[in-house]
Amino acid sequence: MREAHERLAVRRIDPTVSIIDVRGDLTGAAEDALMAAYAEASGAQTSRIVLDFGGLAYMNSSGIGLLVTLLVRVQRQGQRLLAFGMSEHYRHIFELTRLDEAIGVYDTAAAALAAEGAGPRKG
Amino acid sequence: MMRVADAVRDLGLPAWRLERLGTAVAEATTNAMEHGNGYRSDLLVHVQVLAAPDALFVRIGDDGIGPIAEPPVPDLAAKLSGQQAPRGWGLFLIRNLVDDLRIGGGDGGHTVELVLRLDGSDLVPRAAAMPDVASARAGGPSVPRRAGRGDKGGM
Repeated sequence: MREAHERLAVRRIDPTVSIIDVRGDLTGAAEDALMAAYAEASGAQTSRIVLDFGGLAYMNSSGIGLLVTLLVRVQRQGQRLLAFGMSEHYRHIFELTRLDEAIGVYDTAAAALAAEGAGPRKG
Repeated sequence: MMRVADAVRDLGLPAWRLERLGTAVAEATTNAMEHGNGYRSDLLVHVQVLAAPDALFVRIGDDGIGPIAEPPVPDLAAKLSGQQAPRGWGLFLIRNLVDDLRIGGGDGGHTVELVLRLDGSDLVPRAAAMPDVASARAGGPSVPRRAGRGDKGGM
């Protein structure tokens, strides 16, 4: 099982939105990498943080816990958390956990980036 | 997880069911290592895969003592408001990714049994489905390729 210990890439799309590339395994071992990526992605004008799950190999319950922690931090900053590129399996898990009600889930980066002002929904 | 996948390959389960089973087995095995065995390297986690005509059973056993502690049912709103810890999703996921979850615990160790129904029926004759199956021990999770009633030849 690969672990996502390594640094997660962050793409600043514009001053208001950044994309974090979630790659490898999202488990408890990825906490430092994910939170460091969020710190890098979040600036003074950032209103949206977008998670790209296209490179996700595996996520377990600890990884879900990390997303909850990230969601708390994002909401505390008045930002929104969005996601795209998830497999059907992980979309199902988002539905079970109701994370899809708090995180806007979209099929593609374009759909997520076009979702400004929209509430969480499935794209 | 891979050995369980190998053991059930010939059952013809659709990919989405295999993926859900894989996540459930991984969560149960992690719980067994963490909460049951306390990450002690001298204690083993036992994994058994059994197939009956109408159901697939995966049993995960550890050496934990006493009943398995069940955390509160996770509630995202409670977690976001700080009333629950962010973690604690494991058993919830298992329950929702397989058709049935049976938990046993006592002085002889914990056993968690995951059930996937193979015929769409809600009735799974547990005792009849698992005759005379012995436990097996191995380094790390092991998958004895044994089948109960209705051996399909591939288990």
